[in-house]
Parts: sequence; C-alpha cells; structure tokens
Amino acid sequence: MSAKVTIGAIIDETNRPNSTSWSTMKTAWLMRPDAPFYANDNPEFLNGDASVLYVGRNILAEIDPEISGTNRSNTRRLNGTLQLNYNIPNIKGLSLKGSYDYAMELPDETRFKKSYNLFVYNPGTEEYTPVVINSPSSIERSASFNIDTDMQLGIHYNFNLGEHDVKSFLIFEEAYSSWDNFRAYRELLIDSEYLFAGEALNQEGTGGTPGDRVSQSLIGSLTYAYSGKYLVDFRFRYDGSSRFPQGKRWGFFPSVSAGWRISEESFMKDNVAVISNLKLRASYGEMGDDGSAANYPPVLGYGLTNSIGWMFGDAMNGGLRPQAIPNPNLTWYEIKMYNLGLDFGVFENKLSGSFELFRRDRTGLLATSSAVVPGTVGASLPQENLNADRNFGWELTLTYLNEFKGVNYYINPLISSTRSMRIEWLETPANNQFDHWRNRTSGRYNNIWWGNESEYMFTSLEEIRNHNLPMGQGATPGDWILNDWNEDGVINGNDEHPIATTGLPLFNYGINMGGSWKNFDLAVNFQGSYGVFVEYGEVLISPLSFGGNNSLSYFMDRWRPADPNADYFSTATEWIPGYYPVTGHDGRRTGTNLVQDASYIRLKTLELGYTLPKNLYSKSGIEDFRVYLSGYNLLTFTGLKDVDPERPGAAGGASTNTVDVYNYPVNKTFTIGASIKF
Amino acid sequence: MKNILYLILAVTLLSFAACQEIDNWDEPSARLFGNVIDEYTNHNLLMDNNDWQIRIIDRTWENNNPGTVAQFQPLAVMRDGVYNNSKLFSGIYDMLPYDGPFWPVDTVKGIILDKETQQNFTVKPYLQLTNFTATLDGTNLTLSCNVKAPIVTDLPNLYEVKGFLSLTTFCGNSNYINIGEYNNLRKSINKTWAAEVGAADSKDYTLGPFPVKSGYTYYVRIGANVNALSRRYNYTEIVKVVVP
Amino acid sequence: MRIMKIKLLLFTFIFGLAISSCQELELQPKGILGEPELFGTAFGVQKYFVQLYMNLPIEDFIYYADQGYKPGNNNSWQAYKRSLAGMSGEIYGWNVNMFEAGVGYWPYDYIRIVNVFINNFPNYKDKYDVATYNSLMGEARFLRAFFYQGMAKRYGGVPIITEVQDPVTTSAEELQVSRASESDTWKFIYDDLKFAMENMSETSVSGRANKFVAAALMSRSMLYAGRIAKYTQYLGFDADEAMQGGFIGMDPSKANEFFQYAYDAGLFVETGPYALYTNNYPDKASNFANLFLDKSSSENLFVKGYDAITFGHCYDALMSPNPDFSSFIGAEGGPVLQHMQLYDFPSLIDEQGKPVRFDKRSDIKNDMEPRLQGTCYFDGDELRGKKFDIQRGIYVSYTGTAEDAQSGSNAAPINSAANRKLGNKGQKYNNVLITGNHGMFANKGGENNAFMGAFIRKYIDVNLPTNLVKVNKSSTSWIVFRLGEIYLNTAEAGYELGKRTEAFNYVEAIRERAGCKVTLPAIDQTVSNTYGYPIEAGLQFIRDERGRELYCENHYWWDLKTWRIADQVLNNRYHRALTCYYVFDEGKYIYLDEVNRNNRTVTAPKRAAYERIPQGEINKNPKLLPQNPLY
Repeated sequence: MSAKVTIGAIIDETNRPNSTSWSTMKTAWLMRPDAPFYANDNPEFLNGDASVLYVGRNILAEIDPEISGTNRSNTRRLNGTLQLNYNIPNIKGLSLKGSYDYAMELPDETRFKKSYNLFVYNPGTEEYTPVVINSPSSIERSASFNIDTDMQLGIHYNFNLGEHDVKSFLIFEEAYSSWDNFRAYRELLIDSEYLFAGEALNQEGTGGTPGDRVSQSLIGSLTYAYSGKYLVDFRFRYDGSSRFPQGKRWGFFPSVSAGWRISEESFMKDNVAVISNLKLRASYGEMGDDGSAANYPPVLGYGLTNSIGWMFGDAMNGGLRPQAIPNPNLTWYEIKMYNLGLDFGVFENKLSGSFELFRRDRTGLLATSSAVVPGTVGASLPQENLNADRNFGWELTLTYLNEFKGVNYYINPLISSTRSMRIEWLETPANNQFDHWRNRTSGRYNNIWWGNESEYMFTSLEEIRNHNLPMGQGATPGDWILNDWNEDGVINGNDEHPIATTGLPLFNYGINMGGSWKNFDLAVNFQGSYGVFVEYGEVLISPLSFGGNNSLSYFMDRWRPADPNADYFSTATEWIPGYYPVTGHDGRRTGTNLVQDASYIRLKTLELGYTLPKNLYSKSGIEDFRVYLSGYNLLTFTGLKDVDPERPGAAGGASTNTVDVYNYPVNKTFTIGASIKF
Repeated sequence: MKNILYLILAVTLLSFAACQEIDNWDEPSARLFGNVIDEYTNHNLLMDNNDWQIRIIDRTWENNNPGTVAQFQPLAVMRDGVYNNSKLFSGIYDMLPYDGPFWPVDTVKGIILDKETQQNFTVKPYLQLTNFTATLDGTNLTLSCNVKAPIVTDLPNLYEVKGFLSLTTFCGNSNYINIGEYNNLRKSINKTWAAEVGAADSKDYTLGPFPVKSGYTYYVRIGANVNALSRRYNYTEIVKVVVP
Repeated sequence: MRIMKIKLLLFTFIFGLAISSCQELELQPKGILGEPELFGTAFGVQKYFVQLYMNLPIEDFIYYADQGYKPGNNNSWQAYKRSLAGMSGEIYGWNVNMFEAGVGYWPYDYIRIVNVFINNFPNYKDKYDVATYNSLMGEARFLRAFFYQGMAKRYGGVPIITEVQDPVTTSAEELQVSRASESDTWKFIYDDLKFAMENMSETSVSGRANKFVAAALMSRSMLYAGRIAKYTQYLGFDADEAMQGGFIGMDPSKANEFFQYAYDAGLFVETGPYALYTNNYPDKASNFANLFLDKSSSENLFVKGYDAITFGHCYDALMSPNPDFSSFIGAEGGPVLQHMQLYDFPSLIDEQGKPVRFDKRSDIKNDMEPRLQGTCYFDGDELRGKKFDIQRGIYVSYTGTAEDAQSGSNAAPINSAANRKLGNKGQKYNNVLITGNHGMFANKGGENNAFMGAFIRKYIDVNLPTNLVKVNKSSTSWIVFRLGEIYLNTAEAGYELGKRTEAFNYVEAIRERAGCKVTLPAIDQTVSNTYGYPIEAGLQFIRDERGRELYCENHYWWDLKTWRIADQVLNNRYHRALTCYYVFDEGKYIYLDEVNRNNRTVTAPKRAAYERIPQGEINKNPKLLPQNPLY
C-alpha cells in the first residue's frame, strides 16, 4: 500500500502594453519611412500628425506601457492530489489504484488604458498642438473562479504465463468543473491606476453567466499478447455527461485493435530472409463527443443576458432571451475510427518503414433544423444529432540507414495526405439542379474554393474596346479579363466554379537526413507541402490600401501612362507595362490571380557538429564536448511571389481571417554553440 | 500475404487520387442557346448585354425532389439578341423571356435540354427606333431618331428617350458613360402615347448636344422605354463616333 | 494478515468518502427564468418586453440600409456609411444604390415571443387589476403590430401568425403558411393597433408605449396603406403574379378607408398631452435643433434611448469632421443641395444669372429658413468650441454667369487651373488659404471633406466633448414618433380625403414653428402629371413639407416608396453640392451649384417598390410564392 499527496501552486503574471500586438504590427506595416516619430523631430513631443501616420497612431507610444497603459494578467493555480495504490497480497498482479485531484484557477485581469497626448507641429506658429489619444483613461478589472475536481478509482490486473501476457484494468472516473466571473470598469479622471480611484459616472459592473458541468466514465481495457506474434487489445468506455437530457446521458463506446507480426511466423523467418520485420496492424474504435453541445440541455424558459437592453425612463433595463425548445433525444455524437497499418523492415532493417491508412466517420453531429423549419415558426430550435462527416487519408514513412566508408548516414522521407467530406448534412432544399450544385454540400468534399478564372491582361485601349465582353467604362490597359466560363456573355457569379482547395495542404511531406563521419555529424531537415492555396489581403495585394500610408515597393512594377497626368481614355496616351494593373484597378486581386499556390519545400533546419577528441579534455572531468553550427529556415523553394509561404493570408492555408497578415514575420536564424557534458 | 499487399496498394492509389481532386461532384455541361427575334424586322432584337434575362425553370428538379418548387434561373441575353449558356444541367425546362422591352409572351413549356438544345423566341418590341443619326459638331454630339409604337392600344406610358455614349463597342443601359452632363440630356416623358405623340404612330426626337472629348472614340445609340415592369429600353443600332 | 485488513478498510473508507461526494449528472442551468416569474408580475412582464422593444423595426442611428436592424450590435460604426439617408439621396454618403440588397427582414422569432404572451397571459389575469391587465395586453398587440408593419412596408402581404406553432409535433405541411393579401396584412395591423388604443394606459415612462403611441403607429401605418392602395396601380405591375394574387397592392377603392384610419388616429393623438416643441423660442433655429436633444421635449411620443455604457451609438462620431469635432473617422456624409433648396433658401444667382456676391461665407444664412439652420451646420456655425470653416477654392476672378462654371466641370474655361485654385488643407494662394479647415480638399475623398458644403446638425449632441465623440459614446435618443410627424400624417391623409383646409392648418402649425416666410400658402389645386399620375400641387406641397420637416429622420425612403415614385425621383439622380469660392480680385465670396465630385448618382430600380421575400424562406416554404415582382 502506498499513498501519495501532492500539493502545487503556480502563479504566473504577464504584462503587456495596453495596445494589442496586432494593431501595433499593423501600425508598423503602415509606418511611412518619412514619417517622424517626434513632432518636428523634437524628442519632447511624440508625433501625432494623422496626415503622415496611420490614423494618427504613434507606434512608440503604443508599445510603451508608461505612456499607453498596461494589460496585466495574474493567474493563480492551486491543486492538490491524493493518490493511493494498494497491491492486494496473495493475488499476484491485482492492485487497486485511486486518485482524487482538486484544482482551482483564479485568473485576475487588469486592463489599464492610459490617456496620452501626441503632438502636431505647426511650422507657421511654431507651436505643438496636442492630440488627445485614449481619452479618458480607464481601468478594467476582472476575476474568474474556476474549480475542477477529478476522481479516479481503478482496479488493475496483470499476469503472464509462459507465452501468454495479459494486462487489464477497470476505472471509474468523474470530472466536475464550475466557473464564475465578474468584471468592473471605471473611467479615471485623476492620475491613478486603481479601480477605487475611478469615477462613478459611466462605471460598469457586469458578470458572465456562471456554470458547471459533470462527466462520469467507466473505462475498461483487456490486452492479450501471445509470444510477441499476436496482439489483441479490447477497450470500452461508458461515458455520461451532464450536457445531455435525462435518459440520453450515457453512451457505450467499444474499441478493438489487433496486431500480427508476420515476420515472427516460421514460414517467414525460414523462407524470406530479406524481411527482418513485417507487422500488420488493424484497429476499429468508437468514441463519443459532447464538446459542441450546449452546457446544459435546454429547458423551457428565458435566459438573462447582458446583450439585450432597452431604456425605460432613464434606466437601461437588461432583458432576456428564450431558451431553445427542449430536445429530449439530444445525445453523444459518435466517432468511428478505422485504421490499417503495415510496418516493415528489410535487409536487417537497413530499410524500414510503415504505411498507414485511416478513416474517421462522425455521425450525429449537432445542428439545428433551422435549415428546413420555416422562419415563420419563430422558435429558437434545439440542437439535434443530425449531420455526419468523414476524414480520410494515408501516411507513408520510410527510413534508410547505412554505412559507407566510415560514413554513417540515414534518409527518412515521409508523406501524408488527408481530406474531409460531408456524408450527410441537413440543408435547405435547393430550388433547381444548378442551385444544388452551386450551393449545397451534403455528400461533397469540404474545402472547395469557388471563383472565376483569370484569363489574360489587356494591353491596349483598342483591345478593350473591341473585346467581346463588356468591360465597363473604366477599363484600362493592365486590367485582367475573367473567363466567361458559361459562355453567356456576362461575367458574374454564375461563372464561378471550383478552382482550388481551401484550408490545409492536400499533401504534407518532409525529408530528414544526416550522417556522421569520425567526429563530425550532420543533420538536415526539409519540410514542405503540396496543394495548398492562399489569398492575401490589404497591404499585400494593393498599394496605398489605407490611403497615404506605407506600401510595398513591388507595386511599383505596374501599368501606368508614360505621362502621369495623361488622360487614361484618350487613344493618344502611351502606356508603360508592368506586372500589376493600374493602381486602384484589381486585376491581380480577382479570380485565379487572387488564389495563389503556396506549395513549397523548405530547408527547415541544418545542423553541423564536431565532437572534440576526448583526449583533449578527458582530465578536466568533461565527458563530452561538442561544438555545432545550426540554421533555421535557410532555403525556401516556392512558386509564391514576394510572400513567405508560411505566412497566414486572408483565406486558404492556415489562416482564419483577412488580417492575419499583421503578425510577426517568419524568421531565419543561425546558431553557433557548444554542448558540454560533465 | 501477397493479396494483402495488392489490396493495400489498390486502396493507396484510390485514396491518393481522391485526395487530389478538388470536387467530387460533376460540373454542369449541357448547352442551351437561341435567338430572340424582332417580329417586325425578322432580325434579332437590338439590345445591350444582359439588359434583361430569359427565365428557365428546371422541372426535372421538381419532379425528382417532391416538396420542392423549382425557381427560375436567369439566362443573360447578349447585345446581338443571342443567348447561350453552356453550363446547365440536362433536364426538362420551361422558358420565359421576361421583363424585356416587348409585349409579354407566354412561357414555353417542357423544353428538353440534352447535350445541346436550341430554342428561339419571337417578340413584339414596344417601340421601334429608326433613322438614327449622330452628328458631331466640334466636340458637341447631337443624336436623333424616330420613335415608333407599332401597337398603341394599352401601351404603357412612354417613359423616356435617352442617349447612350460608351467607350467600348458595348453600348446601352448596361454599358454607358453614366455622368450627369449626359443623363440630364435625356427626355423624360412618362405620358400616354396619345398625350405625348397624339394620333400619329411615330415621332422624331433629338437629344444633345453631348459634350464629348477630342481624342476619344465613342459608340453611341438612343434608347427609349415605356413604363412596363423594369422599363427596359428599345434601341437604335450603334454608331461609332471618332472625335478628332 | 490483520494489517492487510486494516489497509483494505482504510482504502475503502477513503474512497467511500470520495464516492459519497459523487456528483449527480442532473445539473440546474443558472439564470433561467420561467413563465410564472415573468408573467406573474408587472415588472416581470416589462422584463419580458425588453427583448421585444429592443428589436422593434426602428430605422435609427444604427440601421443599415443594406443589412437592416442590428440592435445591441455595439459596433455600428459603419451604419452611416450605409445609411438610409445616404441610400435615398438625402445625404451624400459613401455607399449608394443599396436597393438590391433588401435586408431579409423576417422577425417571426419576436412575433412568436409576443404570441406566447398573448396566448398565455390570460392564465395570470387574476394577478392584476383590470386596467393593468388590459394595458399590458394592449401593449403586446402594439408590439406585434409594430413588427408586422415592419414587414408590410417591405413585402406587402406576409404570412400572419397568431398561434404558437410547435415545430416538433406539427407536420412540415402545417408549418408552411402562405402569404396573406397585402390588404389583409394592413387590416391585421389595424386591428392590433385599434385594440392597443382602446386598452393601453394614457401615460407611460419615456421609451415605453401608451395608447397615444399606438395611435401614432396607426397614423403612420395607415397613411402608408392608403398611399399603397391608391398609387400601386401606377407601377405597371398589373400583369404580375403577386399583384394579381393580391399579395402586393390593393384595390384603389380601399385607399380612403385607410386614409380615414390615419386621419382619425392623428386626431386621437392630439387628445394626448403633447405639443410642438417651442422651449427655445424666439430663436427658431436652435429651437428646432434642440427638439432632437431635449429628452423632456413635449413633442416626443416615443423614443429609443441609448446610454454610452451598454448600448451607445456612433452618430456623432460619423457625422462631423475629425479631428475638430470627432475623435473617430468623422464625417461620412453631408446634406445634398436639392434638399436644402426645398426650404426657404437664398438665391445663389442674381437676375443676370451671375453668382450672388457675399461679404462673408456665413452670409449664406442671412436669408435662410431657421428650420434649415437648425438642421444643417454651415460655415461659421459653432460646435464643441470650434467653428465650421468650409470653402472649396479660389477664383482669381469670376466674370460671367453661374452657368459658365458648368456645375464645377474641369472642362469649363472659367475653371482653368490658372483661374480656379483648388488645393489641400493649409495650401495658400497669394497668402490666402485656398480651402477651409473642413474642406473641400482636392486630395481627399469625402470623409471629413465637406463635399456637400455643409454638415448635418440634426441630432448632433452639442454637449458631447470632442474627445468622447467616438464609437458607441453617443447617447442621444432616437425619436420614433413626434407630434410634428403626426401633424404631417394627418395633413396628408386629410388632403387625400378632400379635407384641404384642415390639412393646411396642420402644415401652418409646422411652418410657424419652422420660422418659414410664408406659413400658410394658398392651396393650389392645379393637377400635374409629374410621376405619371395626377397629383394636385397642394398635395405635392404637403409631401415636400415632410421632406423639410422630417429630413434625415429616415422617413424619406419610405415616403418615396409608398408614394410609388422612388424609381422616378431616384433615376440617375445626382447629389448636388453647395460650393463656396473666394473671388480673389473682388475679395468676395460666391456659392455655386456643383455636381458631386465623384459624379455619383442614385438610381432606385422599379422593383425597389417591394423587397425580395427572403429566398431561403421560400426554399423552406414554397407556399410563400409568388415572389415579389422583378426578383
């Protein structure tokens, strides 16, 4: 019998300038080279001249907590764990285990927004006129109280008898969590950063909706192996969740996997000598998920909310919102995993590798029927187990190890591919075949990128004038023609069709290789992806996208009249060609031009090391002395123009929204170092 | 043993292929085309690209999906009175030239669209615009034409007579230089034919002068409309005007 | 052996404890209120009504012409880029021609909430005295009517739902309800409001309805209905399916019935404790401006209130130029000359057609109707401690007529670069500033660049300091109904009913308060055919009076629409600009009538007379067909 009690406490505090890093980054992007940080270059006065600074923001002020205030987050985590372990005598391999964990997290946020002055210098009067930013100063405090408990009780039984090897356990687990929080806000007219010093006028005190949640599970496992040849593993979970209504809370989710080391079979061992290892794996598993279910099963009634209010008299009155009508059948959505794998090694495992096929089907995904129930019903509809989707793909890994004239080297390429589709999806009925094809997704691949095709560029007014499609009155040389896909004489939404995939790459691959010779060692790692498309926005696709702010120089390579003041539409005007259209025209921003292939392969890391001969330092007590030179992001091969393929864009790839571009750039680093072991 | 390996190989190739294709649904590929013919001239109706559309209603969809009611797709009609769309799904369609500058026509039912189907329509324009002249005097352009109403009974109000100038060969209400100096030169009427023209069945109109720029090439025409539905225009032919 | 037993006991004991602390999977949701708590007390009912009031179809500071109502959206800073006033050409805003969008308004979720109340409230009757009970019931009917008129004025006939449908137990068939005819829809609204007028209380706190507010909604809705009945016939939709089915349009013979309802409702309002606002007399200009700021105004029947904390709006931040008057992006639009000239407006040209010379730019106001001065800010007016300073450029000399400037076209000889100096902020010609501080600058777009030569004053909160003029910091109330509008409703309805003299008495009251030169013009009965239908000049005058009095209160679009002339008035309509120049050799100022610099026009398509029934709803319920014309 053993008992163990652990008690832990963590306090972490972070301090950030009050301005978000995103907006600071954007300000930096748009900072004109000729815009002074200081008005009249006088360090006494931070410049605030909106005619040169993006919306009059001064980056120096924004990154300085002394000037613009701070965001301080101060989180305390406390947890205590009791673990008991009891090996029952007389019965070998039988033991009882139990643990109880209590954790408390108390985030404590302070947002201090400080009002400050920037200045605009008037040469005439030689005065510095102040511009007030962030006025009034304000202080916001918020605190949360999150408590989690986790209890596990288990009985474990393992034994082996000759070739037979059995492991098993049965565990009961319960997890409970609850949360609550509130927030207070006050404006500061006196120079202080404390809530009590704030003004009563406009003060706010709000609280988030408190809540709690329980889950219980009974988990069982039985593993049987026979002489390392055959392996069978059976598991089950019996899960209960408080997110679901009475009677639908519990779900039973079994899973089974089996392995067969063919190479251990005599018929292989004796006959096929080349094959040193061959293993076939297969597994099927079910899982339940409640993650996307509302925290409580809906009940008839009305929920209070801060997001509804109306002024009766002089007071803002909070309101409430109807709950979804209850759905007594709401329950777990199910995940079915299918796996098939093959591991092999030949020539004494010089060449080894594994191939994996997988499929994950999810059924009973939660959604409401609002897609089919007429809006005139007006009810807020409950979640139901309606939809189904599938992920599938494969992965191949190879490793080759060998030695050649004292050089030990290895090569390890790997490639994987995945795709997802909707198997069944509740959708509003289409109203004709085309509508169905254009706007419906049930039974279809995900991540389809719809768009027009860019065709070619106009090079003269004459060409525009006589083009067989209307280009509008404003068209100039350098504009792009979109393809009239359906040949109806109009370029519009009906010419859009699948032109690429959105989301993550279709293929990811990489090659690790390296080797060692004498005291030298080398490690190289390439990584890349194929079939990934991105779209960029704002500063990356057009110059001066925020008026007179900084722009990227590559936009200079654009179509323009030889004489800047020339009349664009006069036949006399002479044009200078370029890669980009006339500034303000968007030929590079529409159709397939906008969708860029961000496939790439990149030398992610390279490391060259040399281990100094032992005799040099053996006496000094140093065991091992290695110096190395390493680099990160050294080489990139990509078709993408001017942009790093790993930078998130406006759409496609890993990006989530149009402004992800304003983040810290992907950088290249070199390291020289030594590692010393004593 | 071998079989297993073959099986795996086969599945690999399948999933490999599957992962690569963008969409697992087939694109539409049937083509529907034809002419809209002016009953009076027996030529295609004069118009501007996509001024108005032909509505097609997909009965196949309705029949295969009980409970749904098929709704129209608009087919654009081009300036030369030709329509064509090569990205439709095969099936049985009803067709109706709708909201055009002509007396309403009936829906043509049960047109079977296979790979390629042609369907022509003959219409009676509300108005006929003839004797179009464009006279250039320095940088002043004057347009004139004769507006005729073949059928006067029940003709909606004559709404306006308007000159259209364009920098491309496309000219009409969907493609024109839309600026005040020009639009203000249109003739707004909105009167019954009798009130505006009287007993006669036609009347001459002169518009302008339009200030044009030297060094420019314009494509010009006149359009006139009556107060029916969206007031689409009947046009004269297009004339090219090069301003020296 | 014994020790083992003890350990086993100990073990089971400890975990016995743990298990006994075991949680139930049945948890109580927090913060959920049931019907008894809400319907059982007057306060509970008020709380229940909050969500309904908040979502009433009120086109106010945060209404998006192309996206619709966004109550509670605390990010309405783009609302005045996409305002109804901009769409209908009252102001020169940033996005015009938003007619195609339609806002897909389909508020049946709120109608359900009202219906739940109307159906279940009787169970709580014994908890109230009769008056309170009736008043609350009336209030519910008022709210329901409000939602329905929000749809009727867009779609014509819509499905009328009075029951609470259960989507789980009801068949899909039954859930699909077809449209009622347009006249039944307006009649339904009439019935709800009639009930409300008869049962609601006489008085209420500001922001809450009473019987007179119900009457005000009646007056407006029935006026719309009357117009629709009378003028839809002229749209040329007769052949249309929806029209023939009666889903849009009404029999012209019904017009007078609706006009009568509107007229009577107007008289009913007058029996209430309301009066035109005159607190700031004798200065009629500032009186008119104040009427929109004074929360205690005797003219307000019903207002939508804001506070700068939970729900503020951005009107101030978007209507006056940054940085002098706004700490946000600043002015998104300005008043259009066509509308200014509806008022008593100084002539810009003399007998020979030459531009009138002014000694000071602000002299433009000398001969101007006070109501207009209370509606717009002109050069020299003061706000938040600064003065408006507006000028486009300098003419070295200006001989000849206003015509010669060809509406500001660069092609005009007199506008040669040599003679007409345009410039950017602070730029000078012979030491004279070319532009004003607030425009019009040559190098900037319209934002903060007095493109129209003036700025909006109506609803601008003069008490808000510039540093607080930013997103969601405005707390001016939006006046949903004020007596001024009701007078004009009654006047128009009356005139349509042949009560010309009564009608003009209301007009007189309005013009008296406005400080017009002629308060009671002669009633001109000459019939014209301006819109393709006969209309008396007298009626046209009353319509124009709405344009003056209710300018930028988001009535104009609905008026154009229901008069059935939107597509004719807004037919390539140019925003014209009042543009001031300094004539250098004379040392005087002139004002010219120019076309807006972007040559932007507004064009309302014919189909804008009705909005598109949301396509998604039709797909879910084909019984909603036929779709409205031309969609």
